[in-house]
Parts: sequence; C-alpha cells; structure tokens
Amino acid sequence: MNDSKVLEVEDLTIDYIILGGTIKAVRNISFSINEGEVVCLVGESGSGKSTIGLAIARALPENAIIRKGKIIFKGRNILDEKSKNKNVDGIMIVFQDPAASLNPLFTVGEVISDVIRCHLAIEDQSKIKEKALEMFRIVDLPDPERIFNSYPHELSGGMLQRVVIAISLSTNPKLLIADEPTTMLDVTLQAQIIELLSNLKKKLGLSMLFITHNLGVATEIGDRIIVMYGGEIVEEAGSEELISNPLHPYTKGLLECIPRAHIKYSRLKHIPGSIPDLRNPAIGCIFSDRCSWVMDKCRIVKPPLREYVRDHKVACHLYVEDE
Amino acid sequence: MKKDLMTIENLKKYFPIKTGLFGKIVGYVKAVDDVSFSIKDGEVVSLVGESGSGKTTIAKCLLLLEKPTHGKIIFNGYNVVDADNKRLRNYRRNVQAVFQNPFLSLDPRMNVYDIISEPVKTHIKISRAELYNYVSKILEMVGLDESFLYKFPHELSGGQAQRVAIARAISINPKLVIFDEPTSALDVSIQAQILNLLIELKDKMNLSYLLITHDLSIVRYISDVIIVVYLGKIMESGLSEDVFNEPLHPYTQTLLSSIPDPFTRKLRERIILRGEPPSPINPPSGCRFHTRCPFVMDICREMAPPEITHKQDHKVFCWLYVKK
Repeated sequence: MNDSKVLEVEDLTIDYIILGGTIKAVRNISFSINEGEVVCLVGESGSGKSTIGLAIARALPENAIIRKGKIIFKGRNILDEKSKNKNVDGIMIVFQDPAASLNPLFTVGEVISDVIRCHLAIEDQSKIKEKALEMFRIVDLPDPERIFNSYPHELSGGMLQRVVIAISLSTNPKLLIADEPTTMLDVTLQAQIIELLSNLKKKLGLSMLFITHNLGVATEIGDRIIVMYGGEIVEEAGSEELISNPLHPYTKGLLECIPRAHIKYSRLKHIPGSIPDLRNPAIGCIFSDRCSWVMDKCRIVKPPLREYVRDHKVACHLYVEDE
Repeated sequence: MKKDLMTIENLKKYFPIKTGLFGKIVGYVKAVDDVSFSIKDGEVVSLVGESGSGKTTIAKCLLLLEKPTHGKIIFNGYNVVDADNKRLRNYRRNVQAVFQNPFLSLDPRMNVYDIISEPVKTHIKISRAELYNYVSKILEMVGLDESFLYKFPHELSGGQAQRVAIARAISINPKLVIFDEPTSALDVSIQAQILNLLIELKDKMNLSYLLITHDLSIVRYISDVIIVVYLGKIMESGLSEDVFNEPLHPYTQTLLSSIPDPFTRKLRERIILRGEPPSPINPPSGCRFHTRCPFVMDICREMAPPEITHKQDHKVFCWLYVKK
C-alpha cells in the first residue's frame, strides 16, 4: 500500500431505500486522497457527492445501504468495523449549515470541551479550556474568551462555521470532510472561510475532501477536482488542468454555463434537459441523454474511467480509441 | 430616454423590537433606511447585497407585503403606499413576483393549470373555453408543453417548478416582475436555462425586471442597472457596465473580488474583508461600511457620506470620492 495515501475509496456503491424503490445514489466510485491534499468533489444536486462524504464519515442515514466497496483509511477498511461507536478517529466532517450542527442548548464552549474530553482524554478543566481557546485562535476567531461562553444563536453564520471547524480540528484529524461549508454564507464570508481552510491546510498539513457544487470555489481550494454526475465520476484531474482542458462533455457544459461577473455575455450556454432519475440509471453513459456529442455506443456501453493524459481521467467514449 | 416605470423615494422600513408582556418597543431593526431609485421601462435593475442588507425587505415593500415606515412608491403617477383599492388592483396586475423556492411559492394542492389560470381569471375577462388555450400558450412561452398542465408541483423538478412560477407571474401581462433570488435554489446548468428564459421573455413581452440577488455573477449577464446595498443603504448604483468595469465603492470592489471564478483564480488580487456584517439593530455611525472598510478614514466614522455622481447615472456614497 502506498504510504502517502490518506484515504482510498474502492468501488463504493450505495443505495437509498425509499418508498416504492431504491435510489442508486452512488455507483462504483473509486478515488484516493494523498497526504496534505485537498480533493474537491464537484457535482450538481443528486450527483451523490454528499453521500460519499457521509459514507466516509460513517454518518449515512438509516435507509442507506452500502452494497459494496471499501473505504480504506490508515490501512484499514473502515466499513468492516462493526463496533458500536461508529466514529472513526481521525476523520471529521463539517456540514453546510453550522447552526444546525450545534446544539442550541449548550454554549459553544461546552460543546468543544466535550469533544476535547472524549477524543484527547484530557480531564483537567483548565487544560480543556486552554486547548479550546487555542483552537479558536487557530481559526482566527476574535475574542475567543467571549465566544467560549456564547450560545450558537449569539454568533453569526461565518463565526459559527469557524467554531464548527475549530471543533472538528480539536481532535487532530488526519482527514477533514467539508460538505458545502460555504454554501450558506455570503460571498465575502465565503472568501474568508476558503482563505482560512487553505491556510489551515498549509499550517497543519491537513488532508481534505471538499464537497461543493461551485466550480469556482473548487478551483480556489482544490489541488484535484473530481467531477460527479448522477452518482458516477465523469472526470478527475488537477484543478488547473481540469479548468484549462476539460474533456468530458458534462464538465465542458458546466464550465460554459457558469455566468462570470467579469465578462458580458450576449447569451449564456446551457445544458438542455435535467438530471437523471437514479431509480433507473441509464445502462450506458449516465450523461448520454443530455450530451450533444452522443453516439449509439454511449446508450449501450458504459464508458470506463480511464487515464486519457497523465493524471487526467475521463469516462467518455469520445476519448477511447477504437479497438 | 426611456421613461420611469416606478420610482422609489426615501423608502424606509423599520421593524420594532418588542419585549415583555406589553410589547414595549425597545428599538428598531432598520432593515431599509432611506433608499431611493427608479426602474425605467424595459429595464432590468438588480439589487445586490449580502444577507441582512435589506434587499428582500425592499421587494416586500414594493409588493405591498410589508407597509413601508416612510417613503413613496410611485407607479403610473400615483403613490402606491396610500392608493385606493381600484388603483391597488391595477398595481397588482402590473407588478408580479417570482420567489426563490418554487416549491414554497406554488400551492401543493393546485395543478399547473389552476396555478396559472387563477391570476388570469382574476384580472382578465376571458371565457372558459379560451382560458385553456391561453394557459397552454403561456406555458409554452416558458418552455413547457401541454403535458405539464395537469401535473402537481411535487411532480416537477426544481427548474420546471420555477418555470411554472414564472408562467404564473407573466400570465397577466405585467409591466414589472420582481424576482427574489430566482436561481439560488437551482443548479448551475438549470440556472443558465432560467436566465436565458428570462431574457427571452423580457424581449418578447417588453417587461421590466427588478432582480434581487446576492450572486454578482448572474447580475452582469442579465441587468442594465446595478444597485449595491449594504445594511439597508445604497452604497453604489449605476449602469452594470460602469459598475463592473470601474467599481468605486470599496464594498463593491470587495464583492466583485470575492466571487470565486474558476478561470481567473491566479489573476485576481483578492480583497478579503475582515469581520462580519454588523447588526442592523445598531448600525455603525457615519458610513455603514466603515467597520469593515479597508480605506476607512476618521470622517467615515462620524458622518454619513453624501451622494457623489461620478458620471451620468453612476453614483456612489463614499467619502473617498468627495473632493476637498
């Protein structure tokens, strides 16, 4: 096994059981995250990006079933472990809505103290507080002493997101999963949080799985971007490479339909149609219904994810040489 | 020169903060504080701001969902705020709205046909037989075919539901449509579809739009005029070309540099604001932005900046541009 890999996901397939059927939310996903690397999962709603994040954090809802696959963290397949305590030491997750991830009845200080007590086995109250204040300082929160004694409703969205990040980092995780951490925030606060996370990555050598629907955010923070569509990976490349040289028709379309503030358009391009129904995903390429380069083959045979140029993988028949 | 369709003069909306058993008023949230602007015929005006800037409250005042504390909304030569019922009926026919989340703004127990025909039946004299054709024609204009007529909102995708909400708004030939974050709940590929539809409809029906959004990147594409608001006050306004090419107010500059853009991440110098937006209950003295402004001067803390006309129609409220 390669030592520099923090996390490896192999052939992960997850279904949701709902009334009247199963949703095949994630199908045959494989990827890995290297030490100190930020990997972005980018996709629209229903692409399965959050499901992957939840599966790695072992926080999937009860109606989700992992059909097959492995998630290898620190050399162990964490899906094998049947222990009651599902928390995997070393993996932490930050969600979209910070106000919903904190209990409104406890002060922020009580929450972070609990986490520190459980995970770092520190019993001394003053040492716990010291550690908590240190964490608040790491995430650039002003006036940590006041924040420690505040209830969530007394803090603003941007501050709460910093608090949640501080709580996650207090356990010294190897891997941080950030599920749309900036989506609920205003652009100016979003810029702050992205700057914070990139600094933390440099300072602490943190590996991160960053889940977002915003390609702009992804290129700003990610070293590598994985583009998902309808529960499958369609393209994977370094972020510069992906933006400057997108291969998959979906990635191309996605990049074209982002309106950009710095350019005046006469007309915006769009991808016709809407996202696929994952109760019965297409047999062939999942994007074939909306693709403007669709060939007969695309509707019958699923294109495999292959390296087209070095470190740039794409799942599309356009890039497979005919045998 | 196009003529003004609607003029908003010194609009204020203060929400009282009440405490205790008897609802003693202990203060006000100054959600909108002295805002004036106008919307011209056939023009798209965008109100841009972050949460708490009062942009949605302005929309609610214009839609008469909130009664303004002070100020005038002038439409067709009369002040809407104290207009009589007949005029209000005419006003409501001419000013329609589309909101952020179509699933909340469409009645889940009405099908698409009922949703679109309801305003038509109220405002336009039309026979039952013609109504069906009328509704399907409207539906076709927003890019949906007749098979959608008897569907219920839960059977629609987000993009389709937003199209129905747009169809309902344009069904009675309004002059002005107010969009409150029309694409925020949609994915980018669907967002582009809806934005293109809005532009098509505007040209076809000679509509004016007031677009309320926090997303500056869609604003450039669709609007003629941009108004930047912060904590209930206008910071800068002007033609969208002017504001994007030469943003004057430090807040506008920050907003523009905060937009994550996949193609230019290395080219842009970013200005990252420190701190959080202050509370509108106790807004900062002087210029509202001074607590976060990178160019703050002493005078900014003391006095509110006057309106400076930079060039025609490009106005900014900032002490940096006051000539000594």
